[in-house]
Amino acid sequence: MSGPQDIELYQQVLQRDKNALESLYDRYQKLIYSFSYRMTKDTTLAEEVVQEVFIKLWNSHSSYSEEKGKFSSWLLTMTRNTALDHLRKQSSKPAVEFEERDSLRETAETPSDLLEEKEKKLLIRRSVQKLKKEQRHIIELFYFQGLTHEKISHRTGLPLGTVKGRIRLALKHLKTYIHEEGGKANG
Amino acid sequence: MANHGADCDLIIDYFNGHLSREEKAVFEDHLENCAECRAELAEWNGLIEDLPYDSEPVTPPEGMKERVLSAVFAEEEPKQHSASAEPTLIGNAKTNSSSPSKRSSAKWVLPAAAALLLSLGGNAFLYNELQQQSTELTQSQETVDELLQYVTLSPTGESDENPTASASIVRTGSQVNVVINASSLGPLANDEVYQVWLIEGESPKRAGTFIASESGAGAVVFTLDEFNSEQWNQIAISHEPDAQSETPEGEVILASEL
Repeated sequence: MSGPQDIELYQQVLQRDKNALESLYDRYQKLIYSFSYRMTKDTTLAEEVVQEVFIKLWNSHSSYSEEKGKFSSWLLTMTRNTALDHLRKQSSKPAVEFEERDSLRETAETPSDLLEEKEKKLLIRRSVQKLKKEQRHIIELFYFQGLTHEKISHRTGLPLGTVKGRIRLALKHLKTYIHEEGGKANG
Repeated sequence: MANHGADCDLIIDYFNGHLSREEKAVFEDHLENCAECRAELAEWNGLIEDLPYDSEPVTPPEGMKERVLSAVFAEEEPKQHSASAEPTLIGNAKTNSSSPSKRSSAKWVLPAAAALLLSLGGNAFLYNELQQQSTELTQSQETVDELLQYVTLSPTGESDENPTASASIVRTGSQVNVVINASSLGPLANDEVYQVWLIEGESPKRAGTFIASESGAGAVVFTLDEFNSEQWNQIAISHEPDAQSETPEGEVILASEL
């Protein structure tokens, strides 16, 4: 990664350095927006999530430290929680099944895409694609839509008592595939 | 809500934030004694390292950066007018402070605002100007559209929605427009509307009526014959039973001094 490290920028943000916030914004806007859009399936809502995440970042509503792991993971956790808040407010609306193939698609690469991030995306996407359809579906409902246990049961037709086991199984397979794909990429 | 036995089954709703405060406390107590749930939760939290990257890359909408950054930095703009009058209509209206620890109340819901401005035959130039000016409000007095005042409205109640709104008072030629952008508004039923009020002394004057989008965003542009900054001492938004109220009948949800 070129330029200052995330942690350096974050520390400058704590000193109210607007340029540092802008640098973090440029670095993460696309990832955070894409993730928010994946979760909310709504461009306006996704933008609101991005805005709220950066307002929280600027105002240090929650603070990051290196013990919390990678900065990007911390930022993404904040993004997911913010998106879940927005989704809960929307929960009275009928849910629309998300079909990835129908989503807005961006093929043009921008120079700001970090190589590391691109490789990671490729690795994760390949691994997810190797999952069985019903395993992808349960991860979609559980992780990206953040549904309740009961709704996941309803949407998948699985008994309540079976849902957690299926999530666990899907994630176990995913982990294996990520490991395999990662091994291929590195070997 | 799943409730068919062991506390372990609460983990999905805990992870996705669906538990009530009481249920959350129960589960957190349980976590202290259940290594299996702790391990599972750690694993799920670890997914953030991987799963977000499965999102199809999407190009953010045009102008998002400007909108987001101006909303972020608008937080710390100093209040432009010291309060000249005590709030009269809304006893518990909190004056918006620029304290950095305060939650955002300046959200630009510009897609909605832009659509509205355009649909009203308003001008897109105003919209662009507003974006640019929002971080340097007090200084920008020499543009075609002149921003007379910008305030963020603070929630007056403790609703779950935590609504936010900003009001820009803009001189456009001989007219003065009040532009309201609001977000995180609660749902409306039947004929209910959100009503903006400008308050002079103890007399509220209607200053625009709007409804919220499905995502809780709302915007309205209201034209005043004239604007005298001394005249108005408060701006407020209330939740009205219909669009006919001549004085606030519903709950005031947001307010700011002017």
